[in-house]
Amino acid sequence: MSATGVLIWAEIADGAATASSYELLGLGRRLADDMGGPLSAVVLGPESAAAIEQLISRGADSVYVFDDPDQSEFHTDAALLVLEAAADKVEPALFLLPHSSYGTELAPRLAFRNESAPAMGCVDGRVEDGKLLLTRPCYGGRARAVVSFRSAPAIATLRPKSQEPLAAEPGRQGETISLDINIPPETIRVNVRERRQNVEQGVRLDEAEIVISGGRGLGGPDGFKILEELADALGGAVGASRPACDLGWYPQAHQVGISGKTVAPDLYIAVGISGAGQHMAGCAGAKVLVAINKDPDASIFSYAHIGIASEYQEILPEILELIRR
Amino acid sequence: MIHIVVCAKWIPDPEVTATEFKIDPESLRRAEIAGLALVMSPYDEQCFEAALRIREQADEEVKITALCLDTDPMIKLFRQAFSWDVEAGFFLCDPVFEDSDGYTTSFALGTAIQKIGDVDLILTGRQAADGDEGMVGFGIAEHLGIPVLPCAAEVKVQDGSVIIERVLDNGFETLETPLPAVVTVSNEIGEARRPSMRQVMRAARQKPTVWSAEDIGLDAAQLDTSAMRLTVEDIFVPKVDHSCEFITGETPGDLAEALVGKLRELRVIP
Repeated sequence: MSATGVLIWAEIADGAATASSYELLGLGRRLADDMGGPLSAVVLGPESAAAIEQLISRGADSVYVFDDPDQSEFHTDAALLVLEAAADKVEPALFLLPHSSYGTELAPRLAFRNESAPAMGCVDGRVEDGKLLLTRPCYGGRARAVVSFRSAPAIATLRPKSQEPLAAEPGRQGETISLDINIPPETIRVNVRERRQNVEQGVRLDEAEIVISGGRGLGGPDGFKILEELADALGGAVGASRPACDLGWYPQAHQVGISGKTVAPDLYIAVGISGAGQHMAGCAGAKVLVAINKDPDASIFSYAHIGIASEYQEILPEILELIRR
Repeated sequence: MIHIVVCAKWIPDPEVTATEFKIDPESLRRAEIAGLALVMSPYDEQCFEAALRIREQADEEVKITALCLDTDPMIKLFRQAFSWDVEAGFFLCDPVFEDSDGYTTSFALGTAIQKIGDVDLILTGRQAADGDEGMVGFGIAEHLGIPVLPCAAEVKVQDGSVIIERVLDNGFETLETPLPAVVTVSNEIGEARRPSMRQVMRAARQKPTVWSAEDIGLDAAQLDTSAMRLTVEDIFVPKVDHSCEFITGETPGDLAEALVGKLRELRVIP
C-alpha cells in the first residue's frame, strides 16, 4: 500500500507555532484529504508543548513531540535526526517544511539522506489521478514549474503567505505522541556561538498591511526617507528591492523577493522598482499593487493594478501631504 | 595551505524581466531568446569574493579552485574565474548533464571534489539565480559527509575552522565548524570586485581541466533523466490577469489626489 498521509514540521517561535505552520496545515489538510490519509505534525524544543493544542485545532490529526531537556538549544544537526525519525514513524506521502531559514536547510539535507531531491519554495499543490503535484516558482520567479516525485516521501518547502491557514476549531481532537530519540553528541558538528534577532522598529515588514518599497530608481539611499515618512503616516512598513539592498541603500532585512521576505499586504506601493521576476515573486500576493516609475514601459506595470508613470520625487510629497491632512 | 573550491554556475541573466521571458511548450525549457546574455550566477560571483577575502586575510597559503558543471564547452565562466587569479579550474562538461536536477548535480560535483582531493572549504551560492532551489551546497555536504554552514554574510577561516555570520529570517547567528566544510554564500556579503584589464587579458590564456562524467567515474545512468528524483510535469509563465490602470493628471498634485482617492475607495488606506 502506498503512503497517503502528510507530515508537516511546525516551527516554533516566541512560544507558539509560527504563522507559516498554520499555512502548512492548511495545504497539508487539503492534500491529505485528497489522498485519503492523515495529517501529522512534528514539533521540537522546550516550547513545543504550548503549540500542540493549536496545531490540532487547526487541522493536525496527530502531533509528534520531541522535547529533551538535554537538547533545549536548537541545532539543525539534531533537528535533522528528529525529523528523520518522525518521517520513519509516519511514513507520509509528503513531508512539508516551511521555506524559512531552517526549513530551507533541513529539507534538502533530509531529502539527500533519503537519496531524493526536495521541491523548494512551493506555492501550491494538488492531487491529480492519485498523483501528488506541487507548484514552485523557477527562473527567478518568472515561471512556475509543476513537479511530481519518483519516491516517497516527497519532501518540499512551502513559501510563506502562499496558502490560507485553516480557522481554529476549538475542541477538535487529536493524538499526541512523544518521540524518544537519542542524539549522539558527535552528530552536532556545528557550534552556534551566538544568535541574535534584528531589532524591529515600527511594524514588521512581513506582517504589515501596507508596504512601501523602493528600488534602484530612487537614485540613492536618500530616496528612502520619503518612503519611511509615508510608511509612518500610513502605519505601514518599508521594503526594498534586491539591487537597492546590494547597493547598500537600505538594510538587507527589508529586502522583498525570492531571496528576501515574502509579503502579502493589502497595499503594496513599488517606487522606482523595475519589476524583476525575483522581486515580484515576493510581493505578487498584494491585494492592491501600485507602481510609481518614471519609465512607462517598466515591467512593473504589467503586474500593477494602478500605475503612475512619473518622477517619485514630485508625487510622493503630495501624497504624504494628503494623507497627513 | 587552505584549499578552497568555489562552485559556480553559468545562467541566463537574472535581470532580464518577466515580460521578455518565454517557455518552449514542447521541451518545457526556457525558450531561446536571441541576444539573451549569459552570466555567472551573482551568488557565485560573491563566493569568489568571499574566497578572495579569505586569501587576503590568511597568514598561510590559500589556493582557490573554480569548479563548474555545464553541457556547453563554449561558456565564458572560467575566463571570469581566472580573472580573479584563481589557481586552478575544473570543468565538468558533458551532454549528460542536460537534464540534471539538484540531486544529480550535487552528486556529480561532490564526486569531482573527491577526485580533486585535499579540499578544505567548498563555497557555493545560497541558490542559483535561475532555479532558486538552494540545494546543491547541502547535497555536496551530505554526499561528502561533512558539515554545512548556510547563508553566509561573512566567512572567515581561523585555526582549522570556518566561522560564518548566517543570515536568518529575523536576525543572525555566528556558526563555527572544523574544516573540511561547505559554506553557502548569501548576497549580504556584497558585490564581487571587478578585475583589472591586465587580469582579464591574462585570464583569456588560461584554460580549465575538462572532465567528462566518465572521467570522474560516473556513468550516464547515474546522471540522466532516469536518475532524476523529480519529474517536471509542466512549466508555464503565470498569466497576469489584470491590466494596469494608469492614473493621469496635469500636475503632481492632481496625480496624488487621484491616487489617494482611488486607494480610499478601495479601502486599503485610512
